[in-house]
Amino acid sequence: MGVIDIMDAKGTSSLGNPNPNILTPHPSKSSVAIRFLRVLSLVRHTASSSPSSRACRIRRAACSCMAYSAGPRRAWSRALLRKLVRRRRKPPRRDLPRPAAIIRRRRPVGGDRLEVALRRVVPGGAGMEYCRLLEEAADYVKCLVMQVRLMQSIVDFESHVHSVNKRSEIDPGDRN
Amino acid sequence: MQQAPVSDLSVLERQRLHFDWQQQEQPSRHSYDADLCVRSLNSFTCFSNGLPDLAQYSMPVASNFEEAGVAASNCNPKRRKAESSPKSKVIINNSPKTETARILLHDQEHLCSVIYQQDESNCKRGKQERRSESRQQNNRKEASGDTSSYKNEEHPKADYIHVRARRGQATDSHSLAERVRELNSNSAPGALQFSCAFSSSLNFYQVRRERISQRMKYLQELVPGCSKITGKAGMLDEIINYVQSLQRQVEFLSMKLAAVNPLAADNNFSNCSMGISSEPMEQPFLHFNSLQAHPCSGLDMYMDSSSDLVPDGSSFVSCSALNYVAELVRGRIPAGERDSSLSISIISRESLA
Repeated sequence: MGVIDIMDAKGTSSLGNPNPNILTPHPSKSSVAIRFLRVLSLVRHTASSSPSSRACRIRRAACSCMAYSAGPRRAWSRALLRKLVRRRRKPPRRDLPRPAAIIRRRRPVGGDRLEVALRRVVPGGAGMEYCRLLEEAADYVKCLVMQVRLMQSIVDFESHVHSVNKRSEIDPGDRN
Repeated sequence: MQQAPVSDLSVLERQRLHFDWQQQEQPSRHSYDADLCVRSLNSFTCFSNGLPDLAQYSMPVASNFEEAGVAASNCNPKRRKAESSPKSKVIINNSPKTETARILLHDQEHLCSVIYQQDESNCKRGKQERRSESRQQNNRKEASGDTSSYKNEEHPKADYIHVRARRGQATDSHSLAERVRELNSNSAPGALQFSCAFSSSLNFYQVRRERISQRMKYLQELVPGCSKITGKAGMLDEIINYVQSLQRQVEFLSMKLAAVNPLAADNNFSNCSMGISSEPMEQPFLHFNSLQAHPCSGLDMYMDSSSDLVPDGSSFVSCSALNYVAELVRGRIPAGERDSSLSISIISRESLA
């Protein structure tokens, strides 16, 4: 049945997961779908000035839905949410003084141009070590794929509805 | 596998680790890596994840012990037993760069024995002090690889092999067991007895490389089209491109979703007024275009469209749209139940499919 099946197949694929800490099952697609649809309706409902700002909001909503459903166990989801929240509270926000007790571990930086690029791409990738980075990247990819499929299916649905409407517009006699 | 109850977290009291390292006389002992000194571990005692900053338990080694396994001692003085005892607690250190969650593993089969010397003076200090000090020491050690501070302390005490759980990783016994087994399988394959002739740094990097290659393989399976590429650099490149393209797709789709205007096709909807009031509807997001613009939406129009879609199977959304509209029609769905009804419909749709 369309999207859900594809997502299911992807989710329960026979990929051997080498991560020893995969204890939680992958977030269910319906939860992501529900959350996203709700946010989408809200965004559309509020009269917004321009489609571009709406697009921004929708994109942020998509990212946040993804991050929420991934759960707080994942570093990338936490980092993504932090980034989104921070952006929302744009107005002057002083940096909290960092307590002295927090010991910042220095991560290996800039050794490999590819590694640096990966860190930049994956949210929250700056502070992780390499093994962890790869794990997070894998999970992030999975979630992104799911999100893309969801949005694509919504767009398809809407376009289909739209086309049906157009069709019925052309032949008004059929309906009435 | 014996699991320590979480309340047993005061491991300091429970540390009675006795390892005799059989190859103590070997000259290359200084390069012993704590990782590999653990044989198959049957039982574990572990900390919960909630105490990441628990004291690092000291493993000062008799000889020059390199960075991998050492942490500060705990407060209880340990007796060093000359003979090997069957029960020993092992803390395996995975990597020097991991977070400071220490896990105690309990080894019932005494196969490998390690003799560590414990810093006698550390016992006297407070736990906090020692923790910070040990962390600093550890960091310093990691940075410099210098083991001199842990060499040949007064009494060799009970010994530990540390397993560090990485931050965020589960530290319950099952995952620990898994990890240790993975380590075991990664390192000296098939050998139950770890010879401590390996250089610690070599083994540590080997293990790390193994882990990295595992992750890369997993990523390779995830990313389409990566299976042909063999080099690590090429694969990384591919992965980065794929993630960037996915992000771009999300942006593009969100633009598309934002650009869809509420359908202006008012006339299409049959005026089968369902009694749906004209207040703005937040919930029927499945067909929110029309419903926002026109509170009265034709049920049959949607039924038709969904019947079109169903054999198509193009989208699960359509059927739940149908369900939802049906629910909406039958009775005014009270505000609180909208979400649940929709979710129920989606879920039922899913289960039927």
